[in-house]
Amino acid sequence: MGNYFDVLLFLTVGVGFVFLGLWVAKLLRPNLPNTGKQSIFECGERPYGDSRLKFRVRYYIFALVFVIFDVEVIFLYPWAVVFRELGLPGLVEMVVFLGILVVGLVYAWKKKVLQWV
Amino acid sequence: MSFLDAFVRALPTLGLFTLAAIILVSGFMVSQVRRITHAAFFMVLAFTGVAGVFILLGADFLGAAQVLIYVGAIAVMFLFAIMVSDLKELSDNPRGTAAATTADGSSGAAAPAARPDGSPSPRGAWSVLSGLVALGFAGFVLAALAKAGLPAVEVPAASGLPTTAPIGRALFTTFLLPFEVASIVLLAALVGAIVIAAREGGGEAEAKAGSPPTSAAGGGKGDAA
Repeated sequence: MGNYFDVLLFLTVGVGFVFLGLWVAKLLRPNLPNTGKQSIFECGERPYGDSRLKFRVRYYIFALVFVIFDVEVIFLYPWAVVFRELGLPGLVEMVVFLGILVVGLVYAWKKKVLQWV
Repeated sequence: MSFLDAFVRALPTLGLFTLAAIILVSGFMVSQVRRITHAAFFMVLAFTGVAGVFILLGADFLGAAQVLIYVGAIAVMFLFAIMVSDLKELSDNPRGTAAATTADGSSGAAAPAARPDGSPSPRGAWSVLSGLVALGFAGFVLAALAKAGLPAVEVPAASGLPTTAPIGRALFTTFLLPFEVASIVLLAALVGAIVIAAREGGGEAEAKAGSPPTSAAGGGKGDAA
């Protein structure tokens, strides 16, 4: 439990840094709003239309593939912690695990779902 | 010094109540915020709070898993789902715009139409109904927990020691086969998702690649003839 005190300290300093910075900036900066400043900045272009638009459904597959490999990473985490204890068998086990998942990646690649069209 | 000691001793309780407040408030905001993207980010905040509760309970691996899976993956999936869904329909939904106390320009078309015929009353009725359902469910869960009389078990997490190394040791020795099977389950999920997505989005994407199946069908017909 004790080592999470550092996390708490880090969190407090991190959150405090943001709000302190914003507060100090608010104190120091001149306040001269105009409509040009309040418009949405879009790389110097004049923004038009709605900021939200419908993307094609096929991009959802990127999210799905990402979720699968994110779940894979959660298995890597305890493996990395005990990697030295496990030795060579541990490495082989993980290579088998990853090998099976790489088949899925190859399948996705062959099916051309990873292409950004 | 004694004050500092008391403060450090009270820190877990203080943290639990802070996290509970964060989770409850962000959960409430998910249901109240008008823009669905904001709701998704409030959901991320609620997930992060749950990760904090896990860590506070001494389940550090669960905390890491919560951050990786929920804050990382599930949130990204929700944002992708929002991205590919037709949001204009959602923001023009009269009930959605009536929920906002201040209607801005974009919802101006739908909001005045919904306002005059007493928009507070259906919204109020829905709020009361959903509040009752939520209260009933909470009561049901609490009653079930009280009746179950959870035993005071000795869990490794309660000792305050790191849980990740024991989990790793168990996973790669005792539970090696389930672990390897998990990769096959993940592979099946991946292939299944791709197959379903290829079928759903096949409309225009496979129109170009549509010639091989037709030629194959032609070949089949040729065989039949």
